[in-house]
Amino acid sequence: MTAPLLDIRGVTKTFRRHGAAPLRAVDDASLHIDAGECVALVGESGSGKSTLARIALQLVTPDSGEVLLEGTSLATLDASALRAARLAMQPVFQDPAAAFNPRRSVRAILRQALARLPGADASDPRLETLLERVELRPGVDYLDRYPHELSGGQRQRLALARAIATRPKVIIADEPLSGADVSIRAQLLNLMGDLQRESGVAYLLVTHDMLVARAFSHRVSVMYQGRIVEEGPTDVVLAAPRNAYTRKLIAAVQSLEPVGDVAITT
Amino acid sequence: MRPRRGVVQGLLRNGAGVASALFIAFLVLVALFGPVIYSGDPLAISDSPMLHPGGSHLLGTDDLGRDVLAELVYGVRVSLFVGCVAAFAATVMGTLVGAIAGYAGGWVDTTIMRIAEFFQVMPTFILAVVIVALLGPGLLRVVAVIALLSWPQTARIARGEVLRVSQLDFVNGVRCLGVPEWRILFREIMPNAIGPVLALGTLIVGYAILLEASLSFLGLSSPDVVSWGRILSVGQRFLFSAWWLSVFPGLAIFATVLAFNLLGDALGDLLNPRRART
Amino acid sequence: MSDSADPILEMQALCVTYDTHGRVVHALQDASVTVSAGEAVGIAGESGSGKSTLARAALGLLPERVGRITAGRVSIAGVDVTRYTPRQWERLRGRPLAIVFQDPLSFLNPVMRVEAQIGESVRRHDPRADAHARCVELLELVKLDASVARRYPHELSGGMRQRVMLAIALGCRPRLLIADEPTTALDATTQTEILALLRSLRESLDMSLLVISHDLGLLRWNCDRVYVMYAGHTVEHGRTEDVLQRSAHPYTRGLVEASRMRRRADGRFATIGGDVPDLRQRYHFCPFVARCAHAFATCREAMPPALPADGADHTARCWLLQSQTVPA
Repeated sequence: MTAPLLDIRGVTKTFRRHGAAPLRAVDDASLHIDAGECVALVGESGSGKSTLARIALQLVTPDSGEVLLEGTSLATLDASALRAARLAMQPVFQDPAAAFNPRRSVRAILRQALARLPGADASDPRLETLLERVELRPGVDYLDRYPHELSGGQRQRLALARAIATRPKVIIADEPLSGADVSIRAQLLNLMGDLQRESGVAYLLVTHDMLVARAFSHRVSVMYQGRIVEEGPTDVVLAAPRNAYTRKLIAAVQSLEPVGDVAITT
Repeated sequence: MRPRRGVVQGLLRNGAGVASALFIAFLVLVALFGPVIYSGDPLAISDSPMLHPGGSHLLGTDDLGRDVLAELVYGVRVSLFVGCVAAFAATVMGTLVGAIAGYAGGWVDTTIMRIAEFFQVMPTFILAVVIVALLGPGLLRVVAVIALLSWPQTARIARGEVLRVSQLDFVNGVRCLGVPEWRILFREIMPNAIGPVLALGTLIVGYAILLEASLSFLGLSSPDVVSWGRILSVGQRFLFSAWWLSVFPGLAIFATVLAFNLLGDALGDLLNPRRART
Repeated sequence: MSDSADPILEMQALCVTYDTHGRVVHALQDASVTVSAGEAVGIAGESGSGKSTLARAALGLLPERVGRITAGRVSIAGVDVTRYTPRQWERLRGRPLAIVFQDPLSFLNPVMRVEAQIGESVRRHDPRADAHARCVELLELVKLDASVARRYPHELSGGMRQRVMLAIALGCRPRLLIADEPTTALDATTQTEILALLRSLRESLDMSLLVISHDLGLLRWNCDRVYVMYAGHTVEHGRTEDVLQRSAHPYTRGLVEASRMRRRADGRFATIGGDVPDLRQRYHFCPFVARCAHAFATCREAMPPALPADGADHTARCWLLQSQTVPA
């Protein structure tokens, strides 16, 4: 049994707040992703799912528990090994407006990512290929633009381009579709699927929308008030949820099915 | 990284901003070329004292017979020098200190901010007078004192902006690429935080010019330079008999400080990160 | 007010432009919407469709000097309000129409208690009313505990804030409530509660509802009729069932398919190719032409009128309906 690609074991994180009780954002949460898989982390606001994603990305240090990448605990790595490990796990954030330095051009943004990869080619043609891979065509038209000149959907594509630039093994996407229009969401999902097929990258997809989880994940973990309350293969969990909260989430989505079938099956 | 393209166009749209910028450009020209037109020592006596404005002395002469216009022209250099150098020093110091406070947080932040507050609550003018009186006059000393008293304002703004920008997701995005923290602060956060700081910088120039004029009015600035404040202090005694000794330097100070303030306002509006994007 | 036969809100061929520093955006290019007494009508659209501009135009809330109605008309209960001045709007607003927005946190005054804000709304339209009693009544109506009255907005959850916003809107007893993306900022479970609340309010207060949303599922369950907007035009209209299940316009069909997020046989998700329309351009032909798989010559030349489609009162602005071609 091979070790999972990304293994988050029993992490807990409590935030101290001024003038309020400490907030236990994540409470003994565990999650694992195998190579080439897509795991959805579903929860509402305040569930701790974003904090868990940030712990995985090493942006937040957990109070207890550990995060293992390909069997090795990230806490035990030295500086240079840690830098390499970071390149293997890249983020895509929710708000395309704040996802890029407004003073950097598309070229500079992608160059910055590629520069971290030793020996990478960061020339314009290479950048154009990268842009075209996320269907920003023709790539050359986009190089000199600035993030605020792009539409929301284009910015998310750029975010994906930057994420795959370092050839990561897993992409951790925090609500990547929330800011996008319905028709763009489907485009982005198709793109994410293509990228997975081409490079075998795994996804941790953090979302509040069960519909997205149903559409795009192999396995789903449901998070509520900092704890993982249910997890398993997506179709199994959706067809026969065991936890009351999961049932509540599914019911909420069912009531918003745009057409036809009310039963939520894959 | 290039500055945003809309800045110049935006400045041009702001009428007051344009007028101020032009006036300041004019002052710079006077500072640079004035001495060429008025060659010779402005402190030298050129004619009878207390002459009314007009004729060969456009703005009259002072109590020692020196040409007021010549003194004003030379005074521009002092004012601009003190104003700009002091503002520059205050901005650089304040930005560095404020950025570190904002980025580091914790006890570093608290300590730095307490020190800044200490400097801010002190009665500025009295402190300036005391320091200069103790250390003796001298233009650089005056500059140093002004910078020392102005940096907390900049630090406060810089800190606020750094705090705001560091919350944005793109900082995390770069962090996930393994870029070291110090580099993130200087190459990602600072360029996005300095807008309001620069606007404040121009305001400090005006403030510094006023402070220098006040100090030289009291005779605490360097005695061997011609300063507008010094002329004012002379004019004080002859307020009604030789009104031109008070009015012209006063107008010069007023116009210059106003120009810098308006420019600062225009810049502040433009560089405000909350402004709608073009 | 005129007799009750008039629709509460009627917008005909409305055109709205935003002009900022010489840059003109044609937010509405030909929108027609009618809401009558007791109805629940939905407006579906994505960003750039003009749906929010429509809501604001209905209440005279277009940004001063920047937003203008350039053609068409708006009438409220039979009264033509297209050229109303801000003062006229002040007198009119609230009684026939009220609005709730997407983000209650930015709408509610953070330094005023809930009861003060509700009271403000009540007293505005009936200065002699007992504001306190009415406030309690309204909170009950939105299923909030009376203790909420003394709280501040930041002490409440997102769902509660949205209910407070509803209470404020209902304070003036509107005949029509416009809800602009009422649940977008809320969690899934809270969304269903708020929608159930809207439904019950409609019934108990005999109030019309105009819901604007990009979420087709929401519109399906809450509206009798639905308009679909694209690039500032109302491109399809009819009973909700007809529009969503038997969509006549290719854009609607694409939108419905994309919303379902189900994989097709080839494993991909149905999507509408291309990007959102550029509203700096005024479209005198079909604005969807660049993204439409069924476009032909006429589509690029002229804007189709509303043509009948399958179902009573079901129309769509698509040339395909005229040539009787049923697309594959």
